[in-house]
Amino acid sequence: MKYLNRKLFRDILRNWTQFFSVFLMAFLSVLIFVGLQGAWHGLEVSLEEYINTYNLPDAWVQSIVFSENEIEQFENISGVDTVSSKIRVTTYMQTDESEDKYIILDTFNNTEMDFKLLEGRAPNISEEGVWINKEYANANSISVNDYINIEYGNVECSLKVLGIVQSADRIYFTGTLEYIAPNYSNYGYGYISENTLKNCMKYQGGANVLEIYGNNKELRNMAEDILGSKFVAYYDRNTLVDVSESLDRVGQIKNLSYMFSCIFILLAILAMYTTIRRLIETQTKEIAVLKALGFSNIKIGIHYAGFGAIVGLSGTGLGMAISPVLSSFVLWTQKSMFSIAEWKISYSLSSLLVVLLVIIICIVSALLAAKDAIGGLPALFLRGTVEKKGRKFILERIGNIWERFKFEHRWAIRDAAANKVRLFMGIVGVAGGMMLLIVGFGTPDSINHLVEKAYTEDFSYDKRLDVASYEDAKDKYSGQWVQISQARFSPDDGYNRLLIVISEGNYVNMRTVEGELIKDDGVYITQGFAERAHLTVGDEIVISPALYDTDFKFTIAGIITSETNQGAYIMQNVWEEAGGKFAPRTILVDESISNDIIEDDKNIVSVIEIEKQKENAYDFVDSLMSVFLMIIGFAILLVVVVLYNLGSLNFVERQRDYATLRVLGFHKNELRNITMIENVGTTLIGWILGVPLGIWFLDLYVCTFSTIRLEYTSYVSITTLFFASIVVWLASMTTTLFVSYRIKKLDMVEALKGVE
Amino acid sequence: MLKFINVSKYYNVGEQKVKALDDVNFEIKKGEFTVILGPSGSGKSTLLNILGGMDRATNGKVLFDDKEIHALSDHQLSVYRRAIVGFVFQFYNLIPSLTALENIGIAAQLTNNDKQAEEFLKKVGLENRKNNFPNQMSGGEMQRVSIARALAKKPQLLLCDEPTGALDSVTGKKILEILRDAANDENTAVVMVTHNAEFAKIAHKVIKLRDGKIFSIEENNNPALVEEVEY
Repeated sequence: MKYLNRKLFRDILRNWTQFFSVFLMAFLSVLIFVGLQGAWHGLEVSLEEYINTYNLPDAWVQSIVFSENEIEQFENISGVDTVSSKIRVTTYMQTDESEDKYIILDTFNNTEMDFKLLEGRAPNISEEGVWINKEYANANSISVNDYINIEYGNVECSLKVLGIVQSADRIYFTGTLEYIAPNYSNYGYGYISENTLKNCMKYQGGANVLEIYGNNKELRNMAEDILGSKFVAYYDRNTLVDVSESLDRVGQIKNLSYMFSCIFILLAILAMYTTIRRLIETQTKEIAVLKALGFSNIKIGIHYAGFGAIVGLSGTGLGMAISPVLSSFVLWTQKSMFSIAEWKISYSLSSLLVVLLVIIICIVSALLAAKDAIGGLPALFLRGTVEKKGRKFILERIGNIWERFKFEHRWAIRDAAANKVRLFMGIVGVAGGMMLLIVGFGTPDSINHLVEKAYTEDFSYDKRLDVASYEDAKDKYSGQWVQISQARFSPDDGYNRLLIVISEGNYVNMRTVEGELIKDDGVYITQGFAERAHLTVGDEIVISPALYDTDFKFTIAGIITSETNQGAYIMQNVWEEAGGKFAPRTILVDESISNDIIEDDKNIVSVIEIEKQKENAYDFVDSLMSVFLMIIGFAILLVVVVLYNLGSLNFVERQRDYATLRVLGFHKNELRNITMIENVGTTLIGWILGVPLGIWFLDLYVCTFSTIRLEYTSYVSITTLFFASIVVWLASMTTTLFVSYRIKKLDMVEALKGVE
Repeated sequence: MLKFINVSKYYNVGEQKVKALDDVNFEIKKGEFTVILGPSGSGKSTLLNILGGMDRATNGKVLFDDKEIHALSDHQLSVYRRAIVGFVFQFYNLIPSLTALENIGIAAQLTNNDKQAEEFLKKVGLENRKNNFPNQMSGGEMQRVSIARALAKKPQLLLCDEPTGALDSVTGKKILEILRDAANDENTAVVMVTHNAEFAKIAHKVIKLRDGKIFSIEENNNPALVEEVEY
């Protein structure tokens, strides 16, 4: 075997370009699958450990106030292990900056805390001070032992920062539903003892949040029954945005990993299989020589399997070695969005299976390619004059069409038809590349479109003001009033959603699927909610809003295409006619309400500018952008490698024919035109198939981003299709240039001598 | 018509310089059937390649109707091959995915003769095989198609590299007949490279090569008939 091994390595060195393309495919397949898995599985494991270590509750119930009796009733629900009550208040931090800074403070009673202390003193109920979250502290340059001025109601209180913390129920903390992504500069959370809250901030009320450990499927219903009109909200791990977003993100990256890797690996396998086969097929004469010398079929088989094994093992090996870098990169892109105690990379058995699959494909391709020559008679292959088969093409049977083609075009078409695997590889490569590129370009485009639509078309206000008293503000400002509350809908999809009652105005412009604005003829529900709850126009729906004892029955008048805040919209007069009370706390206004007016009005408790919301939403898109750039990069690489392989195979297989045509007197540019027509044909078919497949794949992929709160829909812009097409066509044209370069360098004498 | 003046061709093989042709001089006239004889490695194929514009001489001049072939650009050489030269190879080099008729047509169209493709196929006696692909034909049939393809361009110079080398004696003679007819009837200068000295009998001129040099040039005013050749 010593000499066979030398031959093996020298053959690999001599044909390094073909081996390199197989190596690259094996490397990229493993890198993408294992790298992405390391990220999503790592995130999953990190979250699980964080949630378990820091004792994340299973459900949260909010009420105006909980009585001892009510807490006891919760404790007695079967399946519920522990119930812990706390007070939650939203406070303002006084700063010199013009922007409002909010800190949501929770009380704690135990010294055994359920959050992670990163810096400072261990929590102690007897100490007066505050523990605030790491991200808010960093964004506002707050350190342990600093003093911060907190305002609650009209009470101001100076508190010492006793520690910097991180909490498992605030993994994705936006502070308000009005923001899609975390806004650590303006929204923070913290912990404070009940004594401090009562002494320093003069808080008078009781507990308003229950943290429930344990499960009961009817917990939501029971909470509503126990609390009646005091019920404010119910969340579990799937609906509390602060937690659910992180769990959803695991699913999103997992989907990306499987969907993307699936297409990539399939294409890579196809490329590897065809390249290795062609490579070994050029060695049939050598196989015959080895047989003639007396080498056994097994030894020859092992020798050729070695071609596949070496390239497969080296490609997958490097892929595995580099994959932690990709995993770390993907996780790094998520760190600005999620607050987790420890970020880990983790792999599962499926990674190993993919690695083995790629190696096996390489070895089997090599063995299959060598099979005929190993099994055949040496003399047949030594003669080396086996004529390639010519076959009639189906088009030739249709009338006179065939006769109209030029001879060189007939040659190209028949050749393509005779080399179905090569043709298939080209078409699938282009179509697959197009699919990946449409997803790569289209996903950020879709999310950007969602942001643009939400904050330009659906809502057109300049600012949204939250007021303490509707009565004091209603005659003072002209704008559109919005009353937002949690409500139970029957039928629903298992989750409480938002009920948004709006007054007459021009700032809420959401349209129904038929393009109509919201009118005073019933309730309008958002598309995501309608689909999940199987609701359609004309259906009757019962609404039980928080803080109400009564239910309201409405007919669904329309399904609106709003992606944000999934729930229901209703006009003020329809709501009031049904007996509902309109006491909104939010007004949407235009730019005529200046910051000076707002600052002078103590009734305004918070202000959110639409531009800030938009900026925040774009931060969310940016957090995923690197991942999409990565997809685009890999997709380009895939298209280039597949088309390069195709061009290379095309040239190698037809070198003799090209040389013959050159001898007959064909000019180089005429031959280039022939290759171009063939390449354009393959690319055109792949492109035509790739566009609808890409749109379908984009839709499928973007939908996986949808959560209970946000509905993502795909948006295919001309820009997406244009850039994806440009990349594919450029890669195709580059391949033509590459083949024409080789035609230019073709040595007719050598090419024809090779035959003999 | 065609002159080789002091033509030499060197190849670099590794660190060695190999002289494939060394100061070769000869002349070929229209309608002349020339046989180039020599053992393997004598430079026959190199000479044919330079004649056909597939390769360039290192030194010397190649003139076709006083035009300096050796000085032509790549593109001009293509034009020369397209308009002047027809090639017949030992292993035919037909395009596998084109039928017999189409193989002739693809060459004939270069000189706008594609409408006569069928006529040329008839000339080589294969009109009933026009829709067959190369893999459906025998070696002799493929070589006849190859000759028809070369003749379809109506070349002034027909170059044949061991055209009967892969054929049996009966088929080989048929091929020789067609080539002789091309010289006699079409006034085409036919140059045939072979290592079979017997074929010298039917040639007007016999150029013998040895080690890249011309060993002898013999003129034959009364060439024998093809049937007289001992194959």
